[in-house]
Amino acid sequence: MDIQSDRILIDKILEGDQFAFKELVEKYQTMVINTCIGFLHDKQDAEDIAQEVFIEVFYSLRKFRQEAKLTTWMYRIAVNKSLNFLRSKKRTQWIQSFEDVFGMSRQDQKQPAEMRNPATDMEMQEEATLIHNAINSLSENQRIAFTLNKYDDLPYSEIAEIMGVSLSSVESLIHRAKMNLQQKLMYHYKN
Amino acid sequence: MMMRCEEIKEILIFFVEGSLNPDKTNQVQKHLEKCQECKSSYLKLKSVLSIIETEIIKESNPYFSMKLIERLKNSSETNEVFSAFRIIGILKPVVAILLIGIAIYTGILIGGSYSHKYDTTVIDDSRGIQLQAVADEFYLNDIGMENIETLLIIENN
Repeated sequence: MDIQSDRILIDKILEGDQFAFKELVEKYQTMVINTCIGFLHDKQDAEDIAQEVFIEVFYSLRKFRQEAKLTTWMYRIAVNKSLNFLRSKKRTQWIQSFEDVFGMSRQDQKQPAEMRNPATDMEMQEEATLIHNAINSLSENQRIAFTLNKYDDLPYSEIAEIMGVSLSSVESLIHRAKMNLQQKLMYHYKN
Repeated sequence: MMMRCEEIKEILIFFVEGSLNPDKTNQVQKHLEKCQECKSSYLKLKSVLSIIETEIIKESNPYFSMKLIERLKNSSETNEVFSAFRIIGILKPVVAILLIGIAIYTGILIGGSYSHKYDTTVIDDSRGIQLQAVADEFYLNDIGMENIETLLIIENN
């Protein structure tokens, strides 16, 4: 049903119907933002990247092979864009630290992502930082599988399709991700 | 037999998310009732993992699509893409009709040329006279009239 309605929407967009594109955005915006939040842990950054995802969807829609599910394709774009954003952010932070050492830092810096989290409570803030760091320390594949499962509540079969791996690989990735997270969190509380 | 603390700490995350089988769940529960250290670890782990739930967005932002559409409208590339989509949409039937037209016209031409070849009635008198004149001049007429088999016959006389 969803695949069918997505096809109708795609056809309308390809005919130049702007309202159809708006409908598509409204239908999938929470899905895309949640995927981005899972990687970025910041609502504002996640919304910015989600916008980029929809822009890419819009410009590449003609190339999209309709035998695949639209959501699978959108998840892939969201994961790639989020990971690319994190990589470029890491590079910027490296340059920033270099500037800090040589006293070249600017005053109008953006606040770190953790500071803009809606969780205002101090303890909650600490816990948020702790889980984010633990998730960020996972290997890329474990992180993708875990995030899609936890933040988007996707079944293993769909994660396998998005990642282009087998179902048993996804099961193993998520299991190992949970074990690693548990180990890191326990280690933190022990010390 | 009661599970040891090390064993509990290995599977605590699965207990928190409720994915253990009923037997294991029961064993962990019994252990937590008696072991304060494991119970404390369980509560901390549960609290930390619940952060994920608080981050998940459930309602859509009404300004999100507006902002996006605005961004796309301001982009000249978008207008080009939309107009390209529209032009392609309009052109599709036009091109189809043109192709059908060309196919029909070509068919008529081919059919017409064949009918001219075999239909002697369509040659008017003046054209016939002209053709005859050319044939007489270049002796094409004889060859044209001569039966092909006769070319291989040796004349005895």
